[in-house]
Amino acid sequence: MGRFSQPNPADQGREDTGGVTAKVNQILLAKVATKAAAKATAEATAKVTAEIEAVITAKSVNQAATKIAIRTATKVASTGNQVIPIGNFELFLALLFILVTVGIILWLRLGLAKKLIIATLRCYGQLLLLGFVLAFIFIYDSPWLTAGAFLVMIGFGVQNIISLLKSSPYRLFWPVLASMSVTGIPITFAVTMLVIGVSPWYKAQYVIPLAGMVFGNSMSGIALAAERVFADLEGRRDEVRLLITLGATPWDASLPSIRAAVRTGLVPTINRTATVGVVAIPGMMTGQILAGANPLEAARYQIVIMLMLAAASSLGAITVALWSYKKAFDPSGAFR
Amino acid sequence: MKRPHLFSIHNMTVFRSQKGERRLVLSQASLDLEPEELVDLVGVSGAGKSTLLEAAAWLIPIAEGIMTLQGGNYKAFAPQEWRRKVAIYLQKPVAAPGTVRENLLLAWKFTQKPEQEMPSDIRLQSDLEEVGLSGVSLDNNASELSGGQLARLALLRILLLQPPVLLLDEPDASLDKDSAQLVNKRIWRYLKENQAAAIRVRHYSWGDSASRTLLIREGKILEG
Repeated sequence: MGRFSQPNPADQGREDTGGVTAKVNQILLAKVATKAAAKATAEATAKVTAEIEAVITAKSVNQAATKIAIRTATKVASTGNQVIPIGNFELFLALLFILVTVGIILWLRLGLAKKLIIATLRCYGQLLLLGFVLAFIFIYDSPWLTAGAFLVMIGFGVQNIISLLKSSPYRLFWPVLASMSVTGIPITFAVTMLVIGVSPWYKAQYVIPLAGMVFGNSMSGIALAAERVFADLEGRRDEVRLLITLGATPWDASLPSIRAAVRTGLVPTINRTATVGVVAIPGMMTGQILAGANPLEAARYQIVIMLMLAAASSLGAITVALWSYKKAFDPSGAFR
Repeated sequence: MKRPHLFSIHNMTVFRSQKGERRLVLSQASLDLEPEELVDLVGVSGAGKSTLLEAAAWLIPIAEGIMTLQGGNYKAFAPQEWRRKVAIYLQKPVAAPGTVRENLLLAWKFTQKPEQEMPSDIRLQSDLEEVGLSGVSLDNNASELSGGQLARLALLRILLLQPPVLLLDEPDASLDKDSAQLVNKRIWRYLKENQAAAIRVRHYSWGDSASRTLLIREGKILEG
């Protein structure tokens, strides 16, 4: 079974070996890079990078040439099994497209420029912060930290759903929290422990990203279903009241609405599962391929993930619909 | 020993919440019903007529007071069972999706089936004829019925449950004079055959056929 590509410890914290003198010139650097590319192994890249770092430290070569050499070496070597790193400059380069979009938005007076800029800044801030937090969690790799990450994910997920459902007159905190937890946690661990075989079971590098995907998907299923079940009951108000007067239980009266809600939660998942890989390469598979994984191996992972996500959003939708419909009825079973 | 009333409401108080505001709609309302009695409840709009019926059918929370059916406190019944015994005819008759037959037999689709056997098509057809719906087939789509036809279907639907108490919210509101008379006749026959009683809400008393008339004003029941 394949694994996500792991960072090579050899890449980090290399000291100046002292083997390369200040007299190393541009030609030598290019040669070293070519050598590394030929070997195309992580170890070779690490050595090359270290040697180049030494050159940079020596400050006796043309800075531009050094940069080009590093990039060439890393790029070629990465076809073996490495990620092409994105530097600060490149990170800001990506902003250009957004600036173009902002320009168009301003020209068309869409009134969305401020929102897009804030969203972009949030994207930078949130993802970089996430990177730092995950790096910290991965280093310590404790079950408590993994559990803490679960709590944070569930907490934000629940808060997000509740804010989407703020027009609902019913208090849905507990049904939403319960639906997120009873579907997300078992599905995540079913995949990490039974399918991927992660060891130890709490290994943050696997458990947290997968849990994030599971919670994200069950969140959308839950939000759609919870919104729909009450909207449908409200749309059927006269009929529901009639059924109750004839001795129907809340279950009898709600069944068509529960079906509609579950269908609403399921349809996007079914469509996504059926069309995956036809229009676009899914995100996780793209990530793995960019990280140097064999596409077939990445496809196997993606299949597991797709099915896991389909289960998460479907079960989330079903659970929340079943858990929350009674909120529309008083303790005697009368429609509120 | 004194025989209990067929149906009794004693000192019932009900509040309604509207836009977060709690409003008193029924204040210590009391009434008793005996078998074969049809009581008209009249009053202006907003006096609490429909609220009284909904509370009697246990469709809204009752803040204070008790209700009894044949001497038994309402809290001793399962709400679903109570609603089949103290059956309400809603002011706005509604058709559930499906045919006329499916609409008449709605209650037999639920988790808890009625005690009565499911009526046959012959019985249903004769019921329809009795209230002037001989032209309506059991296979017709109920949503295609006119308001007046639907009103009669809704009445037949609750009579099939054979409730001891009927709560009728303006049952003749959407009927022409002839149909209203047929319905009136059908209700009386039902009350006599089943030793049942009914409360009928109307905007004003027509002086026709009711055993007695009660006036409701600002949530209080007064003798008419």
